[in-house]
Amino acid sequence: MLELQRNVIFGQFVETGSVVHRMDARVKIAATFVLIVASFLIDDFLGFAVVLPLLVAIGVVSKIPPGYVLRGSQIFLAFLAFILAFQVLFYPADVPESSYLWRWGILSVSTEGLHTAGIIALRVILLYYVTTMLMLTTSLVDLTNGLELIFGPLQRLRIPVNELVLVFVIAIKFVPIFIEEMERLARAQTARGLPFDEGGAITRARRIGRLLVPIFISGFARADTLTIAMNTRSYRGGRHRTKLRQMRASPSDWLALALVIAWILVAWKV
Amino acid sequence: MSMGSGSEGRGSIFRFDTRQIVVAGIIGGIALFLGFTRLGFIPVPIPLIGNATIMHIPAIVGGALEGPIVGLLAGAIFGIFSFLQAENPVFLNPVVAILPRLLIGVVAWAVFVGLRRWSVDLAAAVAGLLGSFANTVGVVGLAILFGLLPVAVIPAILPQAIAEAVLAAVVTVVIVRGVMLFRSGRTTAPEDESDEERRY
Repeated sequence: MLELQRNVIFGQFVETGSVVHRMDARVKIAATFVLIVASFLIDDFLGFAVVLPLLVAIGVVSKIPPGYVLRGSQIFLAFLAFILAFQVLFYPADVPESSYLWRWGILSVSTEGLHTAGIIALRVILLYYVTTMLMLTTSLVDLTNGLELIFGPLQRLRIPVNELVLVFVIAIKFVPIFIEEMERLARAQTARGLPFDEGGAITRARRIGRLLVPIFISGFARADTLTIAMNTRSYRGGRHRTKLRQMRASPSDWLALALVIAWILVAWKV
Repeated sequence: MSMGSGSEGRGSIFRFDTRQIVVAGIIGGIALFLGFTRLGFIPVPIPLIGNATIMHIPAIVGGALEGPIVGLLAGAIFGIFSFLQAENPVFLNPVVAILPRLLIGVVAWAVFVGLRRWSVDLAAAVAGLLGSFANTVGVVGLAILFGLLPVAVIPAILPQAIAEAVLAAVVTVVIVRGVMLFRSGRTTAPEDESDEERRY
């Protein structure tokens, strides 16, 4: 039986009242951005080893149970392993004879292949970890306000920032709703005798098609309801809106951001 | 900020109405949902790519049914997802991950609008087919341009590209039919031949 809800933590917010949760959302978004950039700058194992304590510290300070994050990342990690296995076995570049550990036809395991796959794995895990932590520690309202304020200056270039941010927030917000709906659909179809976890690739693909139609129909129905709800409340983008809560970054928030930047610079340069 | 200061935000490059914002968000949400649950990936044992995806189908459906802006935004959400959860090294490059995805919905919209007066089913199938090709050609083309994939990879990817396109064509027809049927409010089968046209 499908048990997706427990295994997908994306878009969920876990309130633990920690220091990380109380930080200014703009600072958290900026720090996340710095770490995303870092995942591209750092290209050796030593650099990632330097970043690791910082990530552990963020995890510990946020008070989010590590088991919860790990359980919610099972699907992601399984897929990652699957992709990386391909990456190693079909490593395309020319490799000197001496570094082959094993070879069979076009399949091979070489030290170069393993090294590349290892760096990619660390990069991907870093990206996944920082974006997941941002979601887990920042409520959707804070995330929206933070993004709107950060990209606010773009409004002078006549880019509709508030509307674009709202599109992304709606998308994120609806993921758990669709997951729940999907589970209900799967149960309903299983109850009527349709097997779920059997069959080859084509059967599975057709089954997904059968699930997508009701998902899309309910999605459009929800869109109509939400549009009416927003229009009756006179939604008109971000223009002339005032906020009940103004965001204020404390000196310690800036200090934390400076620490992250300094740490990343060290990891990059070593 | 005082009410009625007037200048700020007026006349953005592109304007959306509330409905476009909501529909783009929800369609993008379906793409994210397919991604996070990995339902959108159908494992194919082909090196370098590894998975046939159906994550671009929301962008196709959004473009076909709701116009180019919704299609573009849904594609953008798909692109940002494939960048932030890039299990495939090719998508660690944000240009390769995001740029081609913007076109999926726009292509689907143009095809659908162009063909729908002949047959809605045909229009949906071709929109799925070409939207899917726009994705593959854009991603593989840019990846080759950036030197992330060798040119020799094209014959290896071809079977997967065709499989994805056919899958997208079939699923798009079914979804477009389903959504249009739902919107028409009909709950029973049409009673006679002449009613057939009004079904959509």
